[in-house]
Amino acid sequence: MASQSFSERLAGRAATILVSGGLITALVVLALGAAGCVTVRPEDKGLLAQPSMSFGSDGRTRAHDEHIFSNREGSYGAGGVSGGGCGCN
Amino acid sequence: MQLRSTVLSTLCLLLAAFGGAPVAHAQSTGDVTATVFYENGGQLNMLVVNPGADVTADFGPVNVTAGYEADIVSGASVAVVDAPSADVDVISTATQLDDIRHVAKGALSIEADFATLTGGYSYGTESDYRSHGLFLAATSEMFERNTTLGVSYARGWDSVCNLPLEDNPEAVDRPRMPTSDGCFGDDPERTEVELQIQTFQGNWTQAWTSIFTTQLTFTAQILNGYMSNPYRAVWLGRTAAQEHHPENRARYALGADSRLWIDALQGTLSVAVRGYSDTWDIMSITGELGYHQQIGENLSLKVRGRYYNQSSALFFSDDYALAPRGQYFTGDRELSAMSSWVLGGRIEFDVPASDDGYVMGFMETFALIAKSDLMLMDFREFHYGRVQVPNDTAITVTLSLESEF
Repeated sequence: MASQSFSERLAGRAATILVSGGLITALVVLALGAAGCVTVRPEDKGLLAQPSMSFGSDGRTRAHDEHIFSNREGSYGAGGVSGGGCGCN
Repeated sequence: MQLRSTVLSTLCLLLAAFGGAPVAHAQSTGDVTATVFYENGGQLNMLVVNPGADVTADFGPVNVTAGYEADIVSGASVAVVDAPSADVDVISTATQLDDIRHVAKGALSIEADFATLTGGYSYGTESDYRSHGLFLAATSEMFERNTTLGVSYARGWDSVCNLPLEDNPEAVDRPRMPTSDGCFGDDPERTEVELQIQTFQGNWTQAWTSIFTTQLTFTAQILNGYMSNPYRAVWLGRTAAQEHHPENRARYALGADSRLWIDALQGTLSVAVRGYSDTWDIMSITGELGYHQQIGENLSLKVRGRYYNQSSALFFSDDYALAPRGQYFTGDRELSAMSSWVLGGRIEFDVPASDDGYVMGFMETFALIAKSDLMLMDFREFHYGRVQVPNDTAITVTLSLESEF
């Protein structure tokens, strides 16, 4: 059997990722349906409002982390379009 | 004139659609941050100083943000990966580099009771690189605000300085660019190549109980264009050529983050995992564990540990002279199989307000923040000739001032 070309392997890889993405999306939709059943009343949200419990409170820190990891690891940088030179490798 | 009235009408409609609340007063927030990144080992080192400032003005349902940051880079890197040397245990081509990158950005956000729309633009410039970026994001709260859904789309148009490709149409004949002199000018020995970036992101934040919340984030990114480093060459056996990466890449990541309040300790535990895959055949997994402790009313402490592991790119080889991997070749250590550990801490002190309710007479809040991370990297497949990667340890220190006024 002849070995696959680079483009064939890329296409196969993309198809795998698309199927996986579809399955994940279906799972998310199911989970979201379940989320509608969850009820945390407003008067019980005091702790959830604390900065340490909030995902958006450390945006600046996350941006710095992302900047460093995108320059030092091969799989980061997929979170925005800040661009950036390539001279610092 | 017609365009101006159309823009004004559209803005009024958006304001009306998102609540139309009267503009009461402008409350501003601002932060000034400086980060120092230092990596060292053997004859290679890298120092990056990253100062930045952001200001946000809150006009009722409309927020306007403006910011600036810079990367001041100085260090020594390897110009020709695997270049032969009389002493095989020595890196023979370390060269000095210095550059400054400036980024200016702005964003406009419109908030309603249960939804937020945000749009922004950023522009980055340095001696060998230009970037324009646009993003649009929307979030919506539902199920009594226990669920938040967000989507965003970002588009980047980048330009990279390089040698004229028509001089050497075959990649294996193409030399590396020695300096950025003449870039983005009239020098016939320099040209610009493009990189287009599109990023889609969706996230779902869910409060499950009064002490437990999670966030799921899916990111997809498509890159098309030049993604190599024009300064770096790879030894191919008889000559060294500028590294040559594929011009298309699709990247996918799925991350889950969670926060749990621990009542007995009065602190927050955070656990995050992220999986990643792309069409260059890199797969990675990241895990992070953190703990945040409030100490009294004004002091808080956070510690974290992070582990990262990735496989190598399909076209990566540690020695292209002995083991070529098709038409592409790279000298980028971040495209080899690698792992890293990060251990870090963050301390925040909120300066207490005086009797009039203000800090120093005009600020509603004022926080001093210090953060530091130690990063240890392991490049298990990558060598410079026979030499292990020497610069595999980095330290990051960040100091920030944040205020509301």
